[in-house]
Amino acid sequence: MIELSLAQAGTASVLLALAVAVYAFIVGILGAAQRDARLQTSARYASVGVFLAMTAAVAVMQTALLTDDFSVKYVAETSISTSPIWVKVATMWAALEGSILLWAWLLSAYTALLALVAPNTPLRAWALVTMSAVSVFFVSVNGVVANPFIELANPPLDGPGPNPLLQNHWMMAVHPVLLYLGFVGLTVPFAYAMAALITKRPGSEWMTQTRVWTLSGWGFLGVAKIAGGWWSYEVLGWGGYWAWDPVENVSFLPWLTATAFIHSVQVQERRRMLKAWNLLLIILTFALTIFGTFIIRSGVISSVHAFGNGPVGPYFLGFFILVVTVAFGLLALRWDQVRDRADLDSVLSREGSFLLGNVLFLAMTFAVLLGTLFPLIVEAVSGQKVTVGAPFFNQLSFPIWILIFALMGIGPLLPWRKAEGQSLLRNLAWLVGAAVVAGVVAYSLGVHKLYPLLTVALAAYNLASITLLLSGSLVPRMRLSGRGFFRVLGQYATESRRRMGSIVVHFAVIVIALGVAGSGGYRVDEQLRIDLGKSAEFQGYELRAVDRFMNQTPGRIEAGAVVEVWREGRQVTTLRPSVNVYSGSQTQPVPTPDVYYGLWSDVYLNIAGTVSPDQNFIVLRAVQSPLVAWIWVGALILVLGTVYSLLPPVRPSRVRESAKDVATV
Amino acid sequence: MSTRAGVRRLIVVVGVVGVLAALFIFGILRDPTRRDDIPSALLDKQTPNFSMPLFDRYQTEYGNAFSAEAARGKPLIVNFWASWCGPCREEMPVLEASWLEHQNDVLFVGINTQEQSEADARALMNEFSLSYPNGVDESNRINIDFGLFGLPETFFIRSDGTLSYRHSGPLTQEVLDEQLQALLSS
Repeated sequence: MIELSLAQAGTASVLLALAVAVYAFIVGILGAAQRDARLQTSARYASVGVFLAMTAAVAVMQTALLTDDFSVKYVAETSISTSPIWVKVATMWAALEGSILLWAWLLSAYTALLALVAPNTPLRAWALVTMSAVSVFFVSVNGVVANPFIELANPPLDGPGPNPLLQNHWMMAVHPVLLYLGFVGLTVPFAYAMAALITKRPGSEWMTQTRVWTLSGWGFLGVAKIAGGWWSYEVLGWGGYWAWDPVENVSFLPWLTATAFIHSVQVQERRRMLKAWNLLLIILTFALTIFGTFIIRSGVISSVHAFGNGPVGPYFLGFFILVVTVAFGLLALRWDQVRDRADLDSVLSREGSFLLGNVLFLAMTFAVLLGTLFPLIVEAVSGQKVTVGAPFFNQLSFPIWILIFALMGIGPLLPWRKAEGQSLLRNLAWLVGAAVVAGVVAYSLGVHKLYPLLTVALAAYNLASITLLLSGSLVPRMRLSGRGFFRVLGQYATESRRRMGSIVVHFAVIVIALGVAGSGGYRVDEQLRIDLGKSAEFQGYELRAVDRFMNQTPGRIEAGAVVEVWREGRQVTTLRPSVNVYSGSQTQPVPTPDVYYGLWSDVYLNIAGTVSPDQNFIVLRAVQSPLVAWIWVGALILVLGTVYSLLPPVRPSRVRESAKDVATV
Repeated sequence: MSTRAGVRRLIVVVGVVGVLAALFIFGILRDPTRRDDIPSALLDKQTPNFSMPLFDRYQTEYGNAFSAEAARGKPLIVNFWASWCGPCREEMPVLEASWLEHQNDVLFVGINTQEQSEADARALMNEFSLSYPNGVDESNRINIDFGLFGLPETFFIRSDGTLSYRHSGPLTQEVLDEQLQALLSS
């Protein structure tokens, strides 16, 4: 019997997956084109085969990481034997080759799941062909240009360990997985859109069949962005969560177009309009995920997230060009079939507001894309090097956000087709009234900056909108049934899960917007030097430097300060900001801030300078970002709302059946 | 009719994609290491004052510590390096040769930063017999003060303490000569 090393087993699994994926793609095309059920079935089972082979590859990689097999190049270059187990598991996606492995694996899982559970519709065959084509690409990245399973003839005794910044917070184990689940989830509606174009069925079936995948993909992407921001806040030590860095921007772009998409599909479902828009948006969303990966991995635009890895960039560029040419080319050829025949009855209608929202989201996408690519464009045209910083993005995006925020309040109150002037004015009076009251109160409480003030006013306006929406649905029911508010609310929430879910998501957006306005507009950042045993004043808090501490565990040394946080004579909490040094090749100290979150404000302490046993003082960077916790709480509400709207609807028939069961018992 | 219109639209798509592709291919082909084209924020401004302990081999000649403030009055070339940095090795012979040639007019100083192994750092100085003073950036503060982009990086500082030029990446003989002349003539 031949004994395979882990590296050989891994390479074999990836190559097997590649071969089977190519088979699934080719046989899938033949089956779909000839409408041959046997070939289609064969392609479907091949997709499951790809998943099994990729699962084997992932299992091999995890085994290599967990058993410290440094003969596998990826392990030798990124892992270290002293890491705790969760870090070793997550090391699989701490560098390029492994994160592509994760992506390819998740993609193969979604493709297999689709092959097994998707209903047999005319679209399924071509959708699976598209999924297989994307799988072929991702598996081939691992098989050809970024093989994580290269065998080292002369393995080192230990590796350098993953980037210390990634080891320093558990969120970094979760963030990439969420991001890839988002990207992969949004591949499904793209695949069905391609199938719709190929089979000339641009009706709404491709969207209704992928609703769960689309919404969950969108949810994962949004949560991944916020998780990344949270990581940045809690690890990087500058007390911020968003810096308009190219790497952040490019993963923001598909979220923007996906957000436009999940709104715009409703217009097609309801009014059979915006067909072309929806196809355009989903193609853009998928193309932007590939584009983002190209930008991040090719080093084309310099970013603080220094990546840049040889042939992977051009490889992704080739795929990006292929995707946009084929997808938009197909859309161009089918334009006559997808063009809307109907016109808007009125701009003042639900569909009108969705369309305007689309335009705003696309404007935002374009602005962010332009800002990100601008340095490259300028260099290509004039040879000059320029950088585009946060002020550009802020100036351009704030007004658009404010408009979107305003639209979010009024849109759901507008009826389909055409709003009556009178009821529109009555609703608007409530919204604007709430905005004015909140604005005046906020101004008198000291909120004098324009955008935070507008955000507070519009938050109240949106809350009024939610109240009107709920009361519009609940009050008549309460009158009719004579039941109490909470029972009617419960009944409404179970019957209209989508509506209720969207209300919860919009509420989350209000919470997040307030968090962003407070933390962005009223951030305080100070350097404090405190003698041990003494205290310093910071934003109404008293910071007492009590002690220093030093912990040493295998693989990590932690040195920090113990700081008690007092307010009005009461101790609120004790913070332990520290500087961590990980063993391995990258021994630069990693700042590890500690944060106290409060409802209205937080206290964020980071060690500035060094902590050494012979010094009797500490230097701290103290940051306060008001309402920052609202962003993280808002993200949680966002998840709840998304999950709620995805729950299967309760069918009255089932209720009746269960009642019958009870009766027979 | 409609197919011809379709083909026309297809050509537009291909054209737009072509422009995008050309832009990104340019992006890939251009040399990403030429980041020194982005001027340092310190250019023509006062460079940060710093002091650092010198490696013991330089202490008899230059004292225990090096202070940038005390060294004002003479042009200064500050080179950041680390033993693990490959390109740093490439430029060391160039730096040493130039130092031996110009040591009466300009002061060279090496700063060992983000180091992992002091023994390796010493071995490297031995290997290239660096005779200009080298010290240690003990808490990586100096490299933060100078806004280091990567390693190696070299700062050409005028005798009044202002920055004349910053170079990131390994120095070539030509760049070093050119910037040294600019420094001496200023």
